[in-house]
Order: sequence, then C-alpha cells, then structure tokens
Amino acid sequence: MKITDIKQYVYSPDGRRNLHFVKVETDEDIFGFAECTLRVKLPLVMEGIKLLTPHMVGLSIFDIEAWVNKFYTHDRWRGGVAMNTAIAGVEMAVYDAIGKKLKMPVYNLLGGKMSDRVACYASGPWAAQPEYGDSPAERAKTMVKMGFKGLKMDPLPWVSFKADHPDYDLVTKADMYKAVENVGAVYDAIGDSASILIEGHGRTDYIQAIWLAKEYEQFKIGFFEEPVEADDWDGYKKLALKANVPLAAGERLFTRWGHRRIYESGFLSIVQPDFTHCCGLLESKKMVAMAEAYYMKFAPHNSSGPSASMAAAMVDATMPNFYMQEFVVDNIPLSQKMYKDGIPFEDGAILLDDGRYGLGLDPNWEEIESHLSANIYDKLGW
Amino acid sequence: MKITNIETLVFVDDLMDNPKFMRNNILVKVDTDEGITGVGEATIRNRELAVKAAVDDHIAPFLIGTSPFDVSKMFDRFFTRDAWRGGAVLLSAVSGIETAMWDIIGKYAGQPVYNLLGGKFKPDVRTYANGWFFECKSSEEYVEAALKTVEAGWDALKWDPPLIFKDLPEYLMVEEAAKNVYAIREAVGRDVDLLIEIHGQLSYAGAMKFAKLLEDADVMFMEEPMPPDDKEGFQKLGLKTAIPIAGGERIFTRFGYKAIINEGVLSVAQPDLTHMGGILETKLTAAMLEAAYIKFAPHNSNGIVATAAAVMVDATGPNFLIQEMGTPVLQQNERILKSGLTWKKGRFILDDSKPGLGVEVDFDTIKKFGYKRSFTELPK
Repeated sequence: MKITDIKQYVYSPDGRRNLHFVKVETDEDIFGFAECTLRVKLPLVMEGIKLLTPHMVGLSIFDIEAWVNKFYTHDRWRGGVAMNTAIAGVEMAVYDAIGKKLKMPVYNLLGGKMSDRVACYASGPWAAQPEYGDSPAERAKTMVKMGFKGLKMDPLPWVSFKADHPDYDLVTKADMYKAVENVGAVYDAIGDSASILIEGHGRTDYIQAIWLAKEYEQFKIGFFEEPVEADDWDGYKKLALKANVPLAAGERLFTRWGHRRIYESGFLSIVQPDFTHCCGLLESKKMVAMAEAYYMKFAPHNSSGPSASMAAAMVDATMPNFYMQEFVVDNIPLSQKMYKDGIPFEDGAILLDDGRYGLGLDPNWEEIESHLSANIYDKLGW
Repeated sequence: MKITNIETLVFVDDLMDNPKFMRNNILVKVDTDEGITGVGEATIRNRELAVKAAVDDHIAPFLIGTSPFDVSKMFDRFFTRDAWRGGAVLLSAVSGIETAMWDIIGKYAGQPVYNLLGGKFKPDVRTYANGWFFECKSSEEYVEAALKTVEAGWDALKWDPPLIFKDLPEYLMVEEAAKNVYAIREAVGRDVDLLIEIHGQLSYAGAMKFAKLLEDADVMFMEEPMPPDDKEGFQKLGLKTAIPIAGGERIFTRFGYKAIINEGVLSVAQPDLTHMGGILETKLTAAMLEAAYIKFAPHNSNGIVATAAAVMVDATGPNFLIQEMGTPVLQQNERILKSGLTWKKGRFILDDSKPGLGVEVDFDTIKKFGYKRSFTELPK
C-alpha cells in the first residue's frame, strides 16, 4: 500500500482556537488522519508538511523508519519543533492508515495494551470556566466527579504574563502567595480524592521555584511541572535535592536525543514528552521505553485537541511506566462534534476498544470542512 | 485471539552435533484459537533443560487464554516485575515465547514482522560469517578457508585469531594471531570486512598489545577482547585503541544496556535477541543505543529461527551494522524449515510476501531429532 497524497486541514471549532490535521491518502480505499497542532507556530508546521509531501508520495505506508530517518535523524538541519511536529502529524496519520489496513488498533503494533483504560488528568482552563462551577474549588469538585484522578492547574496569576504587558514575565511575591492560596482552596475542596498537579510553565526562576515547591509540599501534589525553564538542568537538580515534590518536565525537549540527558541526570520523576512534537508514535514509544530503563514515569503533554490525546493513548496503553495522559477537559464535547463517535471517554479515562482500528477516530468531514480556520496566525506570546 | 497451547521442543540437529559447535536447539511453539501457530527460538548452550522448564512450568501455564497481541504485558509480568528477574535462562524462555507471539501477530496481519516495527530500511540485511574456520589448524588453512568462504558469497568474516595459538604465552600468542589477521587481509583484499572475536580470553596487557598490532589491518571491530565484566580494562582499552570495540552478547535488555551506553567504550553493541527478551525488547534497546550513537550488530550463535527473528529487527534499525551468522546454521534453512530465508551474497533478502518471521518450521523433521546432553566450554 502506497501513499498517494497528503492534505492538511486547520479546523477552528469556535473561530478562536486552531487545530491542525493531516490526512494521508493511499492507493487503497484507506486514509489516515491525525492531529499535529503546534500553537502559535502552526504556519511553520504547514510549510514543513508541504516540504515532506513530494518525498512521501509513492512510499509504502509501512516504511516509517526509513523516511523518519531521512527527514529527522539524518537531516542536515535535524529537529526544531516545527519540523518535528510536521513529521509527527504525517507519521501518526500513517499509523492510522496501517491500523485500518490491518484491522487493528495501533497499540497492537506497539506491544499490545497493558490495560483497557488510559487514565487522564484534567488539563486546560477548567479552573476558570464557569460551566464547571462557581469557583475554582467547585470546578475542581466537578473534575473529581468526572473521574479525573489528577487535576492540573497553573495557580500563579497571569496578570503580567501577556506579551504586551510592560512588566512581561514578572512574577511577584504577592503572585506567589496568591498561587499557594489558590492551590490551598482546591485542596480544601477535594482533599485526597485526586492529586493536584502544578503547572509552572517555566515562569519562575530557581529562587521562586524552591519557595513554591516547599509550600506545595503540604498539598501532597502529584508533580510540579516546569518549575524552572525547560532546559535549566541545574535548577532541576537543586529542586530535586531540596524539595520533597516530584518534578516533571519534557514537553519542550524532543525525541530520544533531547530527552537522553533528562533520563541520565535522574532529577525528574516524570517526563512529559509531547508525541505530536516528537516525530510521532514510533519515536515516542522508543523514548518512553528508554525512560522506563531509567525508572522514570511518563505523562504525555497535550494541550491541543482530542485526537492528539487519543493518538498518545496508543503508546500510553503499551507501557508499564505510564503515569497519566494530559487531557483538556473541553475536548470531550469537541470530540463529539468533530468525530463520528467522539472520543471513548469515561470516568477520567480513554477507553480502549479492539474494534476501533488505527487511532480509533472517524472524522466528521462535514463539521471540519464547514469550520475551516479563517486565520492560521495565532497571536504571539502566551 | 487467545493462546491455547505452548510447547517447547529441545533437539540436536545432526549438523550441530560437532564438538566445536555442539548445541541443542530450543524452539517454542505457540498455538491459538484461530488456528494460527507461531514459533520462536530460545536456544542457549549448557542450560537447555532449564529453559524448557522455565517455559513449560513457570511461564506457559499463566499465558494460556491470554492474547498474543499482549507482548508488553507478558514481558512486564515475566521479566520487569518478576522479583527474581533476569538471567540468561529466564530471558531465553521469555524471548522464545515473545518471538512466537510476534510470528502470530505477523501471520494474523498478513505482514512480515518488520512491517509492524517501522518497516524495512533496505531491501536486504547484511550478514557476516562465523564458524567457517572450525577445521583449520594453521594460518595457511585459515587463509584457504577464508578464500573459500568469500567465494561462497560472504563479504564479512569473523573468527577468533588467537584460538589456534593458545598453547603459546599470551605475548607471543597475540603476535602470531596478528600475523594470521594480516595474512587473511592480504589474501581477501580490501573489500572484505574482517571482524575479530576474542571471547574475552585476553588480559588487558594482551589485548592492548593485540589492538596495537592490528591497527593497520583495517578490522571492522574487535569483540570482547577481555572478560565482559572487566570494566576498567574496557575503559582503558576503549580510550587507547583506534579499533572499534564490540561487546554485549552477555548484556540483556534496556536495563542492562543503560549501564554501559555512556561509558564511551563500545562502538558496536551485540545484543542477542534470543537472550534479550525477544523482538520488541531488542528493537527498543537498539533505539536506545541509537540515541547514544552506538551501532548494533546482533550476536547469534543459535539456530535459523533465531536468525529470522533477528533479521526482522535488523531490517528496521537505522543503526544496524551487520548480523552474525554461523555458516552451519545457514544450512538449517534447508534442514529444518519447509520454507526458509533467502540468503544471497552475504545478505538476507527481505520478502514482503512472507508473513510473520517468514519461516515455516518442519516439525515432523524436528521430532525425529533427539536431545543430547552436553556441556561446552569456551575456548581457553
């Protein structure tokens, strides 16, 4: 079976958020479909896929290693998040096609599933969304009721963290006290019924992060993510040695080559690769298998659409060191709109079903094609 | 699809019944409720009955009724989370079963296993010859045998040069061994790769001298110059010699390899799929080695089914270098298989039309071979 064409779709369900998809067509009556959203830099990924397309047409769908090697590993300008994401989108769509061709879910090609459910943690702006309750504490209770065992929040106020703010990137001591108060309110509401996961977005430096980490200990947090900048190795080291909270990071480091140093240094407890920025599922499987040998858990990052979480679940399901899958709560209703059956989600987990071939989602073309994005240029900054 | 039966066959093919090559082959046959049967190899010398017991008594009873797709779960259960995990016996048993599971998956999908592991990188898999020199008693006979082997199509030869000089003191032994290497290099010309096996039999001093002497012989690698756990010796030699160092046939799984990939000593890792935990574990270990810029050249002193399994992984590996192949083992292709691998000019030719491992075992023939008790020591 050969690839005949690659098409791209930028779907904007609400005219605000852009989700980027790849469709790989073949010479048989089978196509593959996958998500490769890279926020802010979406147009670069589109160009990356255009670069790949002429070289991909005519290749066997099975020969993933060969072309990933050509366009990533042995590429003269290897890497970069945009190209990694372009490769990932095509690779995952190819896997979707292979699964459909062989009439099996993709996890059966990666070692088979360890469990029928892939546990997810609640992510996205749920703590600020009135539809989930009147206050962050009430909203957290709703998340627990939905079955999530992990609730992620970025508790620091976002006042200065806007690209056009005169004090851009400034976190004040008052903000830090507010963050502890915000986490405390959620902890008081949900107790130990789920873990609070702290998102740091690398906004604090070591001086601030160690202060916060010590405060967060009292809330028995599941992890403190990107407490310092993504590549502040010494910062992670000092935090890991001095604070009693598990540290997580890795969404902004890519592939085995980018992650190797994290594994070897041993200061993180949980790694968070984003499979849609790491050249796809096979590379991701290799990364997390390597992490397992270093006794690290992984919790894949995904702040994009439902399909990226579903694709990640194909790898998650096969690994003993899987921790939890990041899942944007709003993606449940969105998946029901853009896919014929929606994402199989229940009690805080993606459910796996051997009858769902490939990546397990069937696009609703009418919805997608009638909501194509009018503007693929997102606002820069956060 | 569910596993319904697991059977372990231990036998010695007459061909292997040779004091220099003696080994019982171990095949694991896994049946399913859909009529698909898979086969894997679990051969290991000096431990064959222990492996059979590990499969039959300690693993198989717990796998009946499980899905052959659940490779990860099986590996996690019988290796990673086993309180007494690891060791060559247990891992050979796991490898045999795991390989058979992939054979089933491939047959179910109608695809060669390499298509389920990322697809083939090249249309063929390069091999090197081992075992071509068993009858040789002098350097002249080595040269003659090397030329014959090249004539038969091989373009890469491995042998143990100190072997026939083992009665000499080490410092003289390595001088004679080096002469033997240069004699073969001169005879075969520059287009044949020469690979030096030492079976861990030298001291650091001997290895250092041997490596120095071989620097102009253009060898692809020097394998296990010292005992594999002589860590300090390997570190010194690895920093000193320009000859790439190979090793790893006695290191198992990702967990074993992680300990050595940062030492900067090994240029070529030689995992043996039959003791690594099987196809997926070997694939994942090779991927880990790739991130550390180490090539892999699988060790294989086992049978033809083990070879077929290794070929499936080799085919997909960007950092694959070359596959070991005992010349007698290649003859098993005709002897114990109904449908075998295609080998031409030193390469296995990959055939997309052959599902699973691409081999069909002739169980009627195998059942005619018996078990033979044996214990083989390393050359000294």
